[in-house]
Amino acid sequence: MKFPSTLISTLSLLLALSSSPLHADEHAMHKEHEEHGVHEHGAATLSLAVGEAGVDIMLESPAANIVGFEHAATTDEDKQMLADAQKKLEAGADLFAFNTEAGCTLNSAEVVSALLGNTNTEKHDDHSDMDVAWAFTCTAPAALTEVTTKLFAAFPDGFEHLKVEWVTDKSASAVALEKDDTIKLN
Amino acid sequence: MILLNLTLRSLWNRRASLLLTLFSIAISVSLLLGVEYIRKEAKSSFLSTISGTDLVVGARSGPVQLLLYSVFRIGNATNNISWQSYQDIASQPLVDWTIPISLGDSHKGYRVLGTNQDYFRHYRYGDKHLLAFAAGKPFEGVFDTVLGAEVASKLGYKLNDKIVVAHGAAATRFTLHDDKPFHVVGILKPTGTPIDRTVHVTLEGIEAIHVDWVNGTKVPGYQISADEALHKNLQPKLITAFMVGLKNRAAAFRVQREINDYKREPLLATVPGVALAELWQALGMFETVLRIITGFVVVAGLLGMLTTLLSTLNERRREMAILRAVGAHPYHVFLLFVLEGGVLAVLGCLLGAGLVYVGLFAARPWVVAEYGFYLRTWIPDLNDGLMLAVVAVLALLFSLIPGAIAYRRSLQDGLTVRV
Repeated sequence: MKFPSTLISTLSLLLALSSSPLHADEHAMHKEHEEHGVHEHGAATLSLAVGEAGVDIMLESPAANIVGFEHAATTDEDKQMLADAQKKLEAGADLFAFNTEAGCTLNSAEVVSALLGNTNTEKHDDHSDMDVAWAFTCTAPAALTEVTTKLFAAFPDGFEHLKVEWVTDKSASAVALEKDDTIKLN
Repeated sequence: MILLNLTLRSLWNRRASLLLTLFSIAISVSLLLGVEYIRKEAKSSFLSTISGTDLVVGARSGPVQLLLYSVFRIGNATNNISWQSYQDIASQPLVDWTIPISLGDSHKGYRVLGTNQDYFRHYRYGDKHLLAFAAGKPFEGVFDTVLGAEVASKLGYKLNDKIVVAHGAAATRFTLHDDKPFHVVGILKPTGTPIDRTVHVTLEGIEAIHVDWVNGTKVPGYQISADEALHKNLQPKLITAFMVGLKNRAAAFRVQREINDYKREPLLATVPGVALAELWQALGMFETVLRIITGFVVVAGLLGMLTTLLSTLNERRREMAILRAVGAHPYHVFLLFVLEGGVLAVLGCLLGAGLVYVGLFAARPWVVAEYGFYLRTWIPDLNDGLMLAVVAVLALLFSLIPGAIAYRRSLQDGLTVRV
């Protein structure tokens, strides 16, 4: 059904007039919208940022890719799986390999997910994400030219395709992976 | 050596038909190399349009679309973004500089881009080159304009000319901002990017030409002159997109995330290189199709050669018989044909490469004038060499067929061949 545009503008004018100016101002100040991020099981985004100190890697993935479920862990079995997954993710040195000239070592790893209760991001329709941030320190970050992913092997039932995007001091690009591969940063 | 000499002389003897074969191989090879060249050049030209910009921010749509309309002037924005959001993000501590852009108007088919002086300070292309002026300087006044190289040369504008901007993409009399002409203060040097086809004006100028417009049309009897407009508040409320340079490039994804989660307005930030790579992945299929087609063209060229070699088999039975009579082995006859195919293929490859080189050289002035795109000299790389090697090997394989037939016949045929 299509309303004449004049009718719509009259209606919106009426609506605008009906709320008091003070209320309208308050409303404008808190004007916010809800975010509904994409959530596709099997798919995930990996971003690599090479800086002066080393490389920051960020994984944004549906939790199902990593732990196999997205509901709150209630049974002991679920809790065990969740703990195992977290442990596996935190061992970042086993998930990524770099060309040796760069001399990169894992500095920190942080797993954030509603399942772990360490994020206040709202859950939508019982889907939860799992975001991981790894920071690697490199002795020669400028020499970092190759990053090899081992995520597909580490979570064989989870990932189908991985979108990898990266920035270095010189360039930025993206590549789509369907299996573990070596990404050339040039 | 004698065999090669014999091959060359024999080829020379049948030069008329073989020259045509040679040309068909050369043309298919030049197509193969040319397509590869264009593929690589188009990619590097796209990549060199924007450099040094860490993020492009616009209304929520797709990263590729955002990049296409904001950087390449292809397509249109789905929405504008508020000046307030722009200011919010521009003032974040990680942000080094920003360039606001406002699109929507045009001048004789060229896009008009509203921006500020930061555009000339920070926008970089190619190998991080800043924009250079062929004449004049960046705009200062509200009604100043800086023209891209192609706009100036195609429309014959020079400094101090006055130009009138049209509302939207139309150019009818009703939609011209003819009461507020712009004054050309600068002309940019050619960049080989869409900047050459852009008319740059100030954001305030865009605001000023629209002050007396209501709902996208002129209001009869309601006019504000250019001078009066200058006294109005020309602070834009909306812009189309903006470019961001960060203090530390490694923070690009972090800032991108923050902008994408911006609560006041649905925004989209994209890293230009990432969006370009996505665009290229999408176009990858067409590249493959193009390669397959050129591959078939090469095979067709070589089949032409095979046809010529086969069709001369009968005529050359006497030649072969005489060779045998003067002491040639049957495998000499076989080698004669394989060598012939090889010589044709190598000459075809060389001629094809020559065609590409000369063709690009000849087309260069025209392409620069027409598309503002500088064709670099073709330097064959390893990949090209590999392709040529494949062509030569394929030609040798093809010439095994007439070689084998001649080999068999030379054993059977006596000196008195009944053709």
